[in-house]
Amino acid sequence: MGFSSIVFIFTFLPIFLWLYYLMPGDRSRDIVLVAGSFIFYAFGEPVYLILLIFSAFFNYFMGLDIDKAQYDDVAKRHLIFGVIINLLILCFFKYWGFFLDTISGITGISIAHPVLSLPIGLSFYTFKNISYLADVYSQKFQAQESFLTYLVYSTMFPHMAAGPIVRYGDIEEALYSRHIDIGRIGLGAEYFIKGLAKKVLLADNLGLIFSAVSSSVPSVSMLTAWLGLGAYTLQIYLDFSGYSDMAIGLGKMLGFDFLKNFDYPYLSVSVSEFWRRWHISLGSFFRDYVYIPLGGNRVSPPAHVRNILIVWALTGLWHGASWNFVLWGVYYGILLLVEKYALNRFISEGPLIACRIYTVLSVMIGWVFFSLPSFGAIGRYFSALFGFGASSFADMTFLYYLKTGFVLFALGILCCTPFLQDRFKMLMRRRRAVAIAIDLVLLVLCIAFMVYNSYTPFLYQQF
Amino acid sequence: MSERLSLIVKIGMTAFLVLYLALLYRADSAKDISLSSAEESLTSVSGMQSLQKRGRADLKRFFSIEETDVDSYIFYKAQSPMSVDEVLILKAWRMEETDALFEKVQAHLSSQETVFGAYGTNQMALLANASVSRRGKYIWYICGPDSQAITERFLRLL
Repeated sequence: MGFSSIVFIFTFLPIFLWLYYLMPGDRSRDIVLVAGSFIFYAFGEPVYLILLIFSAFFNYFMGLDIDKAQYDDVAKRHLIFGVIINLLILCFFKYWGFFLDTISGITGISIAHPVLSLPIGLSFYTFKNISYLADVYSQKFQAQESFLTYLVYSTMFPHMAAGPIVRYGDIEEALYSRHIDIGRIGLGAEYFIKGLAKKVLLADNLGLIFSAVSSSVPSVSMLTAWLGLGAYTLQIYLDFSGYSDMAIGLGKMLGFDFLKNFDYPYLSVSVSEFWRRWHISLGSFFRDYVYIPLGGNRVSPPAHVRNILIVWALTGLWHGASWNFVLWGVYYGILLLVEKYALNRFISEGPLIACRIYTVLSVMIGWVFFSLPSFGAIGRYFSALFGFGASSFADMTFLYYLKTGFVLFALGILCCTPFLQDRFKMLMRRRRAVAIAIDLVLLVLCIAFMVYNSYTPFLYQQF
Repeated sequence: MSERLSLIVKIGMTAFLVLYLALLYRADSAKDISLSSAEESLTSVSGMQSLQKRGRADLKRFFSIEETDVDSYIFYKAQSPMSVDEVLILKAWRMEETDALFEKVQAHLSSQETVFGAYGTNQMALLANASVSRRGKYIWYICGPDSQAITERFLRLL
């Protein structure tokens, strides 16, 4: 059950919200929220509900252990144990098969191994729990004494399946006391509809173009390959930022404020800026819990290079147990190093438009590594992009996709800038009724698309 | 809480985790098999012989799945559009992709139920007993009078 499914919007959400608002106080609402989250999770993966509850209990317990430790070395020992167990679970499900396959590939010895299905949201809730333990150790806040309250934080359905990786400190106040009024509910609903529209109306349809193009490579023209990549570039942003908007909107309806996860990343003037605006919660996790503990940039240049490459290889690996993701991560590590040590002047003094084109092209090339599962497919797509393996420079297929997808591309590009959002905010201030009517029309359109098309899960839900 | 009690709880939690993971490993895991060899074994089951082998266009048409989205697949379908007999077995490239593929297979089942819900009593009975599940990197949708036999044969291969 995803946020963009009929059963979620018409069955789960209304019943859940009705019960949630009916409860007299925050503690009784906590019980409804936890129960709702369990039902939401069990809908897809009942067998992994035990793992989710275990993980919550384990981290709740370890948080108390770290907090109560009288000496720093004891607290550190507890922290290390907690992090190891969390990573062990993540590695067991996500990386064990990948590790054995790699050993098989290197040694040539065939190691047959069973493969397990990946629990939904495992990477997200593991990182969320690790951040909690690390922050308790750093005494940013005291460990949560109530298991029910920790369950609310750890298992809350709006951000459980595909983030954002919400830090405990960011919602601690709301865990104790939540303010809900009609204004917040309305704002939350607006976020939710906006995210749903990005996903259902734009991302899913742009995805069809990329899917058709990538499955026809190498028999596509060079411009078709670029158009397909453009479609994916928009799709992944609209899909993931759409999910984040929906999660933020649901959070607001429940009385929580989650930090934004995207800040118009395709308007960045450098790749480093792009990563400060894209999947902000993951970037800040790696910055605070890996990069800075490794020494960050306050080390010698060789150590800095090492730190950057470690962080980016891990970022790639976090997205999936596959070498194309590692390659994608390392590609960004190298780009960031090049920017830091060679392109610094161009980025700070170069024309804005040139910097933006450089950033978008770099990111688009990165999506080739990200979107295609095998090195062979990646190689073929690159050949088509640069004209080596393409059937021609342009063809009728290109014109067909351009003509039929023009509105999609135009709206997708506008959604990558604050243009539509600013206009909508202005409309909300001046003609509220019209703005609300637009929201309702968007919702009806989304529902029509959802009924007509088959359900497409969110791209980031697979991580 | 005393250090001793804390240690006991941690040992207990670790033991529980190990046991849980071991049980999952036994129950949910699948061997890495080639679907072409599995196909040879499955086509000998009686229900498969009345079905026609289908290719990438039908995979896209009926399940919205591109051939390149999966490592390999077996797709057999009855010729008659009034029949719901189908066998689709998918092998995903990566574990992370099984969720998305499974959702599409479930969506196909829902769509079939919508199509035949109003008038196809026999079809609805077969759809109600369809085997739609997954294990490891494999996702399957098996519908027809012999769905159980085909599923059992496939599970033995895993």
